[in-house]
Amino acid sequence: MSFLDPAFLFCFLPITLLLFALAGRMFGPSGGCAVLIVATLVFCLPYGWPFVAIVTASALVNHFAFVALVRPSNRQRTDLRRRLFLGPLIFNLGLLIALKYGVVFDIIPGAAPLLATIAGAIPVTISFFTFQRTTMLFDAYQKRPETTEFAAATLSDHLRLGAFSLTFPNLIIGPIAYVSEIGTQLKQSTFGKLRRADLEIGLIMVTIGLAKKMLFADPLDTYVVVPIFGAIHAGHRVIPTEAVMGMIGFYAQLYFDFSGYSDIAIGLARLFGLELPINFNSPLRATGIVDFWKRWHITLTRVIARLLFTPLAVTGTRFAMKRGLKGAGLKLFTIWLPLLVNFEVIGLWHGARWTYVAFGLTQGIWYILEVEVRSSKRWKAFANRTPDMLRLRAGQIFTFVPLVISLAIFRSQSLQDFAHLMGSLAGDWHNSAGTLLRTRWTVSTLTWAFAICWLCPNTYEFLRNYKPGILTWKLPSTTPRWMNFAWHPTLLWALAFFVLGFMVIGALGVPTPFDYGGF
Amino acid sequence: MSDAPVTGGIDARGNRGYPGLVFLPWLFALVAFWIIVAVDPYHLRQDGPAYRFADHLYPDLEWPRLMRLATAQPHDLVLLGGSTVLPISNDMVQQAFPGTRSPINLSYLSPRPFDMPWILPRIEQVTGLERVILVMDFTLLDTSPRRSYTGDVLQSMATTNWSHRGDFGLSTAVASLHAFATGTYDLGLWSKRAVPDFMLGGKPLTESAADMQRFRSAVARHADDVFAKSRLTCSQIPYLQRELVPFLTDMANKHVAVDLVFPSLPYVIYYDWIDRKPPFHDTMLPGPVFDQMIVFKKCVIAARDQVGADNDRVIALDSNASVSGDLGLYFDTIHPLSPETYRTEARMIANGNETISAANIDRHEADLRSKVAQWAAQFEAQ
Repeated sequence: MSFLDPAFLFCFLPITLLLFALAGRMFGPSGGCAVLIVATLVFCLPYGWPFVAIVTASALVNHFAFVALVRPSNRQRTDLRRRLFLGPLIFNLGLLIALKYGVVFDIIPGAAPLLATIAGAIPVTISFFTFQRTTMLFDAYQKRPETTEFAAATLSDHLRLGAFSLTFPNLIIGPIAYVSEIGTQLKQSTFGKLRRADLEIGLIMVTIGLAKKMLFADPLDTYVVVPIFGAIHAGHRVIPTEAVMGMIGFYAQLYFDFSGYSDIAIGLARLFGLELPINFNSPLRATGIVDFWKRWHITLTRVIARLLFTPLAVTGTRFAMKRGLKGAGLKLFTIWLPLLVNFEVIGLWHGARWTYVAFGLTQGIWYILEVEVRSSKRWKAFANRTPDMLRLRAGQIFTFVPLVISLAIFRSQSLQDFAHLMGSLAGDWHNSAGTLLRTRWTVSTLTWAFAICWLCPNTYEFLRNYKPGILTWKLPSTTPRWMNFAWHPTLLWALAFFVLGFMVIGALGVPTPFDYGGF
Repeated sequence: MSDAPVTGGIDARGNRGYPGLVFLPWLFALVAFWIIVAVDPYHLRQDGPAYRFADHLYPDLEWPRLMRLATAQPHDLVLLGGSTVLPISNDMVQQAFPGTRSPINLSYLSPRPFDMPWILPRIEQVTGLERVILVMDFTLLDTSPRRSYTGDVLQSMATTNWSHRGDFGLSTAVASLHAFATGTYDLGLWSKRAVPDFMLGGKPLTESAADMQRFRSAVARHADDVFAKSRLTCSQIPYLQRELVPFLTDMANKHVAVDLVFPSLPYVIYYDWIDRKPPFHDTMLPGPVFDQMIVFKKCVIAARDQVGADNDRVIALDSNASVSGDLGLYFDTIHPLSPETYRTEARMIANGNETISAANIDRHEADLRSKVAQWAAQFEAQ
C-alpha cells in the first residue's frame, strides 16, 4: 500500500487509528503495539503474499534471535551468542542479496531465473526494514544497555519488539530507527492514546511531505527529468542549457521526492504518538560532502557508519599498528579504505548497477579529499583568517556543482548515458531552441524549489517547538534568521495549512511514480 | 537545527482551537472518498448499483474510467475507436443508424492493442448487442506493451481501483453525489462541454500560416516518394491475429455485425508525416505513410476474410475526398473540427458506400493515390 493511495489515506489509516485508540484504551500500550503489528501486515497485503511472508519471516527470525541474545542466562555464553547473531545476520544479508542483487548471479547456471522469480515476487524494497532489524541484532549482540529492558521477555516485551519491527510508517522507505529510539516510546503510558497534539503535528508533517512530493517532485520528474534523461537514453541530442536544467532538476526532484516521503513517514508515526529519527536536514545547503552526508538520508549514513565504517576503521587501525605503518599508509587502512567501502555500499544499496558503483566511488573519493583538506594545517590557518559565513556560503556554492554532477551519474541509466549527458554540455551554449522542456516553467519551478530549500526552515526547524523527530546530529541552522519561522497554533498558520491541505488533496487526483520505490 | 525547545505540545502553547482547521481538508477528503466508495461510480463492485450516463460528452480522461459501467449496461450498438471518432455523440449514431435504441460510443484517446484484451471481452459481454463499430486507428499499429502515450492517465480504464490516486478527485466525489441523488453520474461543469477537451481552442489548419507553409514544403519535398513502398507487413501488426480475429470470431458466433472503419485522415498526412509524425509516431514505421496505411487496410481485410462473417464490413472513410481532401475541416493533421463533419462520418459508416474488400482494394488504392496526388496538385497551385 502506498502512502499516496486514497485507500491508504482515507480507509486504512483512519480505521487503524480508531482501532489503535480502542485497543490502547482497553489494553494500554500493549494493545497499541498489537494493532500496529496487525495493521502493518494488512498494509503489506497489496504487495502480495510473498512480500507478507518475507516481512513476517524476517521479523520472526530477528525477533527470536534478539530475545535469545538479551536473555540473562545467555549473556555469558559467547559461542551461542555468536551463532545467535551470525545466523540471522546471514539470513538478512542473504535476503538482500537474493532480492536486490540477483542480477550479479547471472554467471551461475540456473540461478538467474530462480533469483529473478524471487525478486519479481517482491515488488518493493526490503532494504529499510532489513537494515533496521540488523541494527537491532547488533544492539543485542553488543549488549547495549537499552536492550536489557526486553530481557524479561514478557508478552508486553514481545509486542513492543514486534511493533518495532513491524511499524508500517517506516517499513518500506524508512527512516531506519534504532530499538533504543523506539522501544522506550512503545512502553510509555501515553502510547496507545490518540492525542490532539500528535494528530495535528503528524498531519502537518504529512501535508508538508505530500506537498513536497506532489507539488514539486512529481512535476519536476514528469516535465524536466524524464524528458532529458529519456532523450539521453534514447541517444538524442540535448542542448547544453536543457541538459543542465535536467541535472539540476533531478537534484531538486530527488530531494523533494525522498524527503517528502520521509516527512510523510515521520508524520504518520507521529499520528500514533511515535517519534522517528529525522532523515533529511537541509542537505541542499551542505557546505561540503562531509556535511552533506550528515544531512542527506541521515539514518542510512549512521547505520552504514556504525555497522561498516567503524568496524573497518578499527580493523584497519589494528592492522596498520601491527605493521607499524605511518603517514599515508596509516591513513589508507584507518580512513581511506573504510571510507571507500562505506560509500560503495551506500551506492550499491540502491541496486546492482555500474552507475551506482561510480556514484559511490565519486562520493568516497570526494569525502576523502575533503577530510584531508580540512585536516591540513593550511586549511586550518585559512579557516582562522576567514569569517565563518564566508566559508559557509563558499562551501555551499562549491558543493552544489559536484553534487549535481554526481547525482546525474546516479540517475543515468548507464555510464554511457552519463558520458552522453556530459558530452551534450560541450554543445552550443548560445542555442536556446531546445524542444524538450518548457523553459519558463522549468526555470520558475526550479527557482521556487531552490528558494524553499535555501531560504525556508526545513520541516524539523519549522516544527521545532513540538519535537517532530529524533535528531541524530545536531547541526547549526543555516536558515536566514529573518526566514526562520516556526509553527505556532495561530489562525494564520492554521489557515496556511488549511489551504495547503486542499492543494495536496487536489493533487492526489494525479497519479505519479515513486522514484525511490525501487531501491 | 535551532536550539529552541523540542518538547511540549500544542495545548501547552495556548492552543485556541485554530489548528482544528488543519484537519478540515482531510475530513473533507475522507467524506469524499467514502461517498465515492458508497456510490461506486466506476462499478468496481460487480453487484454495485449502475447509474445512468448523462447525454453529453464526459471529460476525455474521465470517460475511460467509466468503461466498466458502460459495458455493464445493455447496448445494441457499440462504437470503439480513438480521438478520431470520440466526438461522435450517441445522438449522431442514433440518427445515422435509425432504429438503434441504445448506442454507445466507448471511444477514448489513443487506444492501443495493449488495451484490447481488457476491453474487447467486455464488449462481447454487452447484452442486446447487434452491431460493433471498431475504428482502425493507426495507434493500433503499436507493438509495445503500453496503454497510452499520455502515460498513466489513461491506464485508469483498466487499473481503476480503490487505491488508484487518479480516480478519486473532487469531481468524482461531486458527480457521485449527483448520481446518488438523481441516478445520473454527472457534474454541472461537464454538461457545458460542447467538444472533447483535446479539441478545445482548435482552429482550422488553413488559418495557420506556419502549418500551411510546412505542408507546402512537405508536399514539394515528397512529391516523388509519397507513394513509395514501406516495410510494413501483416506480421508486424500483432493486434490483428491476437485480438481482432478472435473478437470477430466471437461476434460472428453471436451474430453480431462488425464494421471495421478506417477514419477520415486528411490527405496531407501522407506528405507531412514522412518527416514529422505525431508525438506517438513510433506506432508507425519510419518512412512512407501512404503505403503503411494501405498495407494496414489490406491486413484488416485479410483478417475479416479469415473469419468469413458475411455481415462484417471494412470501411475506408478516407475514400471520400470531400472530408479528407479539405484541410479547412481539420484543426490538426488527424482530427476534424466541426461536429457536422463527425455527423457526416457517422452517416458514411452507416451507409457503407466506402466499403473496401479483397475484390476492390487495388482499385481503392489506385483511386486514393489519384485523389491524394490531385489534392497535392491543387494545394500547390493555391
